Amino acid sequence: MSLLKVSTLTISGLTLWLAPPFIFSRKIPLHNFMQGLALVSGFACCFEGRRAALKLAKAEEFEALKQAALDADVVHEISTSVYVSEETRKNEAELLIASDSNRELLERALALSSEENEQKNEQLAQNADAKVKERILQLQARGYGKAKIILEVWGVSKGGSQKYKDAETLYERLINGET
Amino acid sequence: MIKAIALGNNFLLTAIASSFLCWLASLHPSLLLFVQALFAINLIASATAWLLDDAIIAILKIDLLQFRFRLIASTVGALVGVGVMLCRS
Repeated sequence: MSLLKVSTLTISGLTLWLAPPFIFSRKIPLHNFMQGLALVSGFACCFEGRRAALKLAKAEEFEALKQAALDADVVHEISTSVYVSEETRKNEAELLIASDSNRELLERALALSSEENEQKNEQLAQNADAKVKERILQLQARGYGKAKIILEVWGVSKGGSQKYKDAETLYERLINGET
Repeated sequence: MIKAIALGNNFLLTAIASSFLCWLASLHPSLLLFVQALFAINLIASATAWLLDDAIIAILKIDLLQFRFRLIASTVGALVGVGVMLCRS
């Protein structure tokens, strides 16, 4: 609308400046007066057109600045979100790495403790076996037979029971010196 | 585009003003003398502005190129305005 107004004013000013001197005669007083009037009108049109054009240019400049500010805001927002997501990803990766190293440490600690327990258990078992073997030897020295020794040590009487068989196997192993 | 229209209007204003002065000069011989004096003053002012351009741009705080463009445009506009009125019937 404003551009149309500016254009109209400019064209009117140009017409009012150029047309009357070539249409009207300067010898006729009324024509001469009309020429002067047209020149003043043309000047006024051009003046108003210039003012409107400058106003419009300023408004356009403001709009361009506003658009540039909006674009900058959008760019800033995008870069911020990219930065935040990047940081989050980095933190997650660091946490993952840290948890992995913790897991490794825990696994190592568990492995060490289980090794120690195994050694301890083995030691205890060996001690128990040695005690049982000593007891068996004492009973043998007293002249006890196999069945009686098993009954004395493990509390199982001779028969086809599984307990007796297990005790017998253990007895054989201890007597034969297997570990 | 809009800035070009504003510059064009500036040129038209100068041309129409000089045409109007010419029209005034055609009304009466004493007005002719007055207008001649005005054009003479304008000429002297333009010449002085060309000579003292550095000082003037420092006062007006505008670019030298812009200042020269304005000087040339106003001179050409005034000449065109006078020419239009001299060529009329």
